[in-house]
Amino acid sequence: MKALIVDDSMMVRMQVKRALSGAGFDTVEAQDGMDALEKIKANQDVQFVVLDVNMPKMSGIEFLEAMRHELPDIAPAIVMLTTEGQPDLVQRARALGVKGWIIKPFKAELLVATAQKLTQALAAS
Amino acid sequence: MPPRNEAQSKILEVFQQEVLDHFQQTVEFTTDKTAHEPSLNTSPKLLSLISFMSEAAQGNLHLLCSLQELPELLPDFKSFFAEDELPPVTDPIWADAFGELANQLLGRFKNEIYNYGITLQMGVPSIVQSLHIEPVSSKYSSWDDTFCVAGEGFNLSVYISMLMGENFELKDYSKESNESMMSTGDMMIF
Ligand SMILES: [Mg+2]
Repeated sequence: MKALIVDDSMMVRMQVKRALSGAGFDTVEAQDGMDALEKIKANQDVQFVVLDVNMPKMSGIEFLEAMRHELPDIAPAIVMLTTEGQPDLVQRARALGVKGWIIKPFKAELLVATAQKLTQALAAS
Repeated sequence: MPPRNEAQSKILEVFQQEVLDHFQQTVEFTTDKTAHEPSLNTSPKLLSLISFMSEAAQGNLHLLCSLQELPELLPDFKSFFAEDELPPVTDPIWADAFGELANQLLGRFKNEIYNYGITLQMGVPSIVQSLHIEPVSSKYSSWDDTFCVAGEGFNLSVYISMLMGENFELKDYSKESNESMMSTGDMMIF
């Protein structure tokens, strides 16, 4: 099971990586949306993506749009992990296929439970 | 310096409350409390400044702190490490963590102020680290309300720009109920 962790904060990437590694995920990290696009092109077997919204170069929402456009055949389970919570933004991400939304700061066990639930649902579909 | 108008006073009041709530919550989130005994009793120095560039729509958040005291501001991240593996405060990870702290503080403020009908756009954190960040005295400025950083020992600064939506005026300060609004700690699965 492979997960992509996208956040401009090294601290957040470390925290998410530890949580997911402990649950058996191999992890790939990206520091902004543009980096994430490169990483997911090189790792198309990624099943779970943890995605921040506010990042330099390319935001999480812009990454989603670019990924849908450039890689229409892959559909990993995506969860937003962000400080943002505005309904219009949540709706926009949802329309782009995002499966969950977590507001920072986060509890590791909650993220792991979400990752397991969504990747199991993905495997069953 | 007194805020220019009541709306700005409200902004400062809400922000202050959100900062207090954040620290209360991160202590609660720190599960391994025995490792470093995270506590707010150490009264770490954190100075936050919200400056407004105009009567209405543009502002900045500045957070300043002492690098030495930064780990106390981040109890959940501090407890991430075993005691003998705690990176020294000079490790860039702490400056990064400070940027994320500013991001999370402004983020929860943004979500709260949205309930008052104000939409806020925020930039990404810019972090400045130096041996000592000198206060800028108002005597060097032609603006009579330029803020000053008083006191010494602040050597880490993070800056986030913010842009208020058109409805910034916040006439009646009433909190509108907005059930679909998410706030800190919330999770939603679609
Ligand atoms: Mg970010």
